[in-house]
Amino acid sequence: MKVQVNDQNKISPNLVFFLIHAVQVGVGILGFQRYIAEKAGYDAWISVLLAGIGGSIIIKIMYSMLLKEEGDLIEIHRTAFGNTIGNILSVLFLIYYFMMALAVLRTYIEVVQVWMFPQLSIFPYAFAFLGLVYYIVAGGIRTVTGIAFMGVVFPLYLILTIVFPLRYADFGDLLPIFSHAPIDILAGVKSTTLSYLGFTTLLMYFPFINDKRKSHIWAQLGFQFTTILYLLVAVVTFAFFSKEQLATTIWPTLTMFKIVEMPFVERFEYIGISSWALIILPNVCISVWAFSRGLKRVFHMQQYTGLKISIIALFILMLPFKDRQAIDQLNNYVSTIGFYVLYAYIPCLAVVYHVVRKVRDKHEA
Amino acid sequence: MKRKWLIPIVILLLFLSGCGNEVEIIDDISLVTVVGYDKGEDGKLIGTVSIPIYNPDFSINTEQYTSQAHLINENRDKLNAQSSKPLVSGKLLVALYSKELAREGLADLLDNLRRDPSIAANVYLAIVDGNVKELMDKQYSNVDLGIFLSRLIEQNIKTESLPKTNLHLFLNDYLEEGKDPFLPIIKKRKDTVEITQLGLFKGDNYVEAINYKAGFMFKGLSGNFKNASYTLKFKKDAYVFIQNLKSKRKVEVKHPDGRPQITVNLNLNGIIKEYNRTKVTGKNIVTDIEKKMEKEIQVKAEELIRRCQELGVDSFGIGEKVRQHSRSWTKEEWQTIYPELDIKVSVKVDIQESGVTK
Repeated sequence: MKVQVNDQNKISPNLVFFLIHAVQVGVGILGFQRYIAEKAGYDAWISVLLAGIGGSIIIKIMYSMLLKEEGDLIEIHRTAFGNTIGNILSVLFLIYYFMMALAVLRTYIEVVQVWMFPQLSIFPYAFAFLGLVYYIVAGGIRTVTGIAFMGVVFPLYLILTIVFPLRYADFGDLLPIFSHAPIDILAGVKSTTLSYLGFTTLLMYFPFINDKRKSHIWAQLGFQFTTILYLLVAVVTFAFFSKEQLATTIWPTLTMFKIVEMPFVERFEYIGISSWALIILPNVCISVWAFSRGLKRVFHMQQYTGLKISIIALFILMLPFKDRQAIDQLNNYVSTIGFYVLYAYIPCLAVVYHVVRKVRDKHEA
Repeated sequence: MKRKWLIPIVILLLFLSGCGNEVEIIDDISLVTVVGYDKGEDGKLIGTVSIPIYNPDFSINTEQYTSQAHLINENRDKLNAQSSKPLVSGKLLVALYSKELAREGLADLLDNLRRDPSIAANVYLAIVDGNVKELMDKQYSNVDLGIFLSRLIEQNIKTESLPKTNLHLFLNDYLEEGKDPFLPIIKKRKDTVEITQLGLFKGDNYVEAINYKAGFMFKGLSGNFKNASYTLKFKKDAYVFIQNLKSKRKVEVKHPDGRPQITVNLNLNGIIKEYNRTKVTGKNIVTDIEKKMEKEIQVKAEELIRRCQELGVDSFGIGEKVRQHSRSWTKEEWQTIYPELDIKVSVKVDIQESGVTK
């Protein structure tokens, strides 16, 4: 069934580029190199490419459902599985959005704690940050999109810092190519998932896009921009670190900031990490928006109420994750769940949905 | 109505978030620029830190603190007790280690530098020939010791007599399969400090030193360089000084019968800057100089490689190159075959200009 949205709340199709890209690049890019190299060694850049191709197919599948339904995930679930089961599945999916926001924010606070302020307690920082998130998400999807745009464009200058590690890079490290079995490279794809996650929020904000058919290409472009960025970062990281060194570096991207030398700034990490807040902000906002929108659609509550619930829940659930192990575990869970959601659940859902639609359309005709 | 509250609260939160943390003001802390470690009694470390004190009349004093402990940070705590302001290591420029400590392995000591996010990746490391504390006890010029030592090393890297080195590169070589790191060795002379040797490492253990004069050869064999100089004894009493030497290294690996055959190709080109016997001329003098230089560099380079092979030290990353061409490379196998490998050096010198005179 079609989901109706006021025209004044809609966003233009090209902005989907920023929504997709902003929600993907978060904390994953700070440390994904180590995880993928663990599995596929220095052939792991192939895994990054494969994940790019895989994601592109998933976006195509999502569009095939969304364009047909002209609605959102909740509506698709209801069509495919009926009201009750559909709603239950929707709620599970919403929890996954929520966990994404939780993992990103908690990991970022950890980075700030380790790299900048060891005495920082989670409480005040999370309070301030979530206040800002509340303010933005309360403004609706158009405000969130604006923040996404800002969160992509402003920190873009960080790409330039890739020049500094290049001076110490030895691209011979990547040789010999294909020294790992295909199965290892596929395992590497699984490990990249965390950094690619989040674009499934498309399933929630789709009804808000003007000219939906046109937005497909922008979604694909946004995704491929992420792939290129990751590929660049992965290749430079592999050339910069030796294997063993990378295996013991928790945040290779941040460690590469340490080699940056500029006459006017002694330590670039501080600037890099502070700028990173701008990358994290839209990331959390989009996930929280998707979660609260989902609550509204499933439980017919006010979106403000849903938003309040999600902010308070984020705040409380952040507290049990106290150390590196716990946070790493959280990220692993989100990554594993995300992997199966992307490559197993969504294709299955698409099959069920299209079959049900075909049968129903035949019936009605 | 709700929104009215929201904005001031958010603004307040953003500003207040700066309050919770301990603020470090530059006048209230001591910036450590050099740390040095000697071997102490029963497994303890003697740690020395050097701190610049900037006086109001723009002169600089250097303060030293020394103490003994098992751990680097335990040491730091003890040193803090001596200092009037808290010691902060974010500005660390140079870390020095005594030869004894380097012989026992630096990995555990470097772990501290690596683990601490406030320490830069381009900190210089060096081994001290002699007592580290003694070297650090003196102020060598009107600059702070840290700046003095880091400029000493930096300058030698820029003039291509010392291969590029810093904390990151040391760790990179140490943790690379098929490559061993090196460090410069410095020594206290009467009023100054000098780089005297290059220390070769096997893993993280210092093994032997080679003369610093071989630094040129060492650099050429471990990578490319751009702006070196070389003095060649051309004929009896006839010397040529060649400048702006650029070098490209290429390692060729062949496997004719399972055993790798390695040729290191060095391509050099440069400009003649000085020639002290202008009367000694010949027909193809430039070609003769090239030939002579090729021969000389080849002999010296092969000598250096053989020495490394005897020590079982792979400072030039030849194992790394072999690994990049083979999928079945293993570290153990490489270490057994490396000392007996036949490694050839082939040198090609091209002198492009001879200045503005003929």
